[in-house]
Amino acid sequence: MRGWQEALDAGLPAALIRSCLLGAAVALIATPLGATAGRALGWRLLRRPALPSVVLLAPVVLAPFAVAMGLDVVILRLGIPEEIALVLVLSVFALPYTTFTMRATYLGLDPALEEQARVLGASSRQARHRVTLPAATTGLATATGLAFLVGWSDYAVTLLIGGGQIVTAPMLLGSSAAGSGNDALTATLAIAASLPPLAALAAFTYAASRRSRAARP
Amino acid sequence: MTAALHLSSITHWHPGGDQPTLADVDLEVQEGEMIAVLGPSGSGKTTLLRVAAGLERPESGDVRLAGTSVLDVPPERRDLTMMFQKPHLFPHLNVLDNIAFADRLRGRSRSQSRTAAQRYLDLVHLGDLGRRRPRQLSGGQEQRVALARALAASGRVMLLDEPFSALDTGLRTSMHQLLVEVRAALDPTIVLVTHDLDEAGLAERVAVLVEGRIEQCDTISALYTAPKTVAVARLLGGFNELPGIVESGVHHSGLGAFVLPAAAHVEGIALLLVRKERLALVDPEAAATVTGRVVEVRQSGPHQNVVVELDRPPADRRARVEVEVRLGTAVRPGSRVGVVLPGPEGLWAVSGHVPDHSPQTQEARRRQSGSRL
Repeated sequence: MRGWQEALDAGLPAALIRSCLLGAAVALIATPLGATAGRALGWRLLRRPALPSVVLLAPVVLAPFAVAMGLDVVILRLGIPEEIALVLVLSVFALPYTTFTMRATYLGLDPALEEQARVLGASSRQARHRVTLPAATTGLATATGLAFLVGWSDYAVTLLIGGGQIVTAPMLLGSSAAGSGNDALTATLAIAASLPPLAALAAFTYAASRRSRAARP
Repeated sequence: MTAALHLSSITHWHPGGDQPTLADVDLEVQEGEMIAVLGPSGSGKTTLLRVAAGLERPESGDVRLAGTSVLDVPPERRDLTMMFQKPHLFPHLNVLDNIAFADRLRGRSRSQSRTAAQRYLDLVHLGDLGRRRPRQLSGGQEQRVALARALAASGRVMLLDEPFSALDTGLRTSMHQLLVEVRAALDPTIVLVTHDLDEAGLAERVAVLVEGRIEQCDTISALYTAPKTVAVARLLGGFNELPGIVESGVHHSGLGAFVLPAAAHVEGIALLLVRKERLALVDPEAAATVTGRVVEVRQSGPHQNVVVELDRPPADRRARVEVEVRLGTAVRPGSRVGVVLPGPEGLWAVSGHVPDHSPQTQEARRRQSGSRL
């Protein structure tokens, strides 16, 4: 209990909320962008898909530290507020995950579904919103989860862009592990930082299994 | 009377194609009529439907629904619906909600649209499966639901793009029966694309599409008895082609002279067309029209097709005819047989360019050129 008390005193609730907001903001940006890019790649709507694929994969291929350092300089010059800059940079890192998750999802969906909806009376927007996106729910949920985790669990980019001023759960954990020597506090922070995504994963898996059970004859 | 659907002078090119997918196609479908578009793979059948539906834009021509041009109208506002080769049921909706989809788009309440959908589901004999997901259905059930969904969309015209081609023979037959029932109940206007002759026979008229051109649009029996072109005859199959020349309603070839029916308005070089089931095998010593040697016996459903190489070919090359006989007819390869051709009612001729250099034809040709002089 001492560890929990110390974690509360160190600002754990505020850090968890900040991480949660960061994850949500990253998911909010990277998921729709990833869905759009994934649709174009999965349904081969681009004449030359190789270059966009390489560009979209670049953030996971290159060392995050190097990318963040480079972008940090750009952000400083442009005078973008740290919080916004952090969300934008993390969204760039989340984009490959959301794009390629959605690409796989769209590969499994027949583009003719939208044409079918059109000839049943749906506009192209209605076809996308009422048919394609609902049919891609599982992929969208997975992409959202991955984007959220990129924001939730980031340490290096938050440290570089935030300059130690934006204290998230991983930042709190990192500083405790590096300098406090307080094993109880570090363990408590580690558990506290791991529990929310684990709980979300368990809830998602449970919902998915219920859905597939309900669909069985 | 204004046609329910009128495609006029439609020409369409696929990007990069070296010939048009559709070349100056005209097709008129009356209210409540069912018309089949029959053609080999790659003849432009599906493109024709996609142009009608607004999923493809033609380079020239017009699409009219009840007399109004809809060329610039998007598919969702064309008042027609289309059923594809695959059922394309929406995986996130259950069967009932799939059928209710068009009604929901029109702003009807969930319960109203589901009640209406249930009626269409009953019509396709799947009344109990409304709550199932598409992946829980068999292929035949999926197509029935797709048909119910297309009917529920209540478009002025239903476009069916080979919807039953992926089903096995038994299921296809039951879908044909269902289509007949649906027509009796709702009297929809239907354009059915198919390469199946039995399926085409369900329609009042059949438009034969070959290499992007409509070669003939007529009843199925007219296609079988009086094909307008060689391409139509070859697509239907079962015709024997005998080259020769037509002079004053008589076809002359190495086999002799055959009086043609009055409706065959052909002159000059022409192919005599005789259906294989109109030929009869007889003893070679009997009063046969021609004689020959059996070279092959093939079973085809409840019949046998006997291929006979003629002793007296109609041209200066080997000629064979195919004769359909009942299963179990005692005939073997190598045996000599006589072949009897039918009277004028069983013959037809189309302009053809297959050369015939037999003396009889040459003589007829000389007479013809002499009479022209």
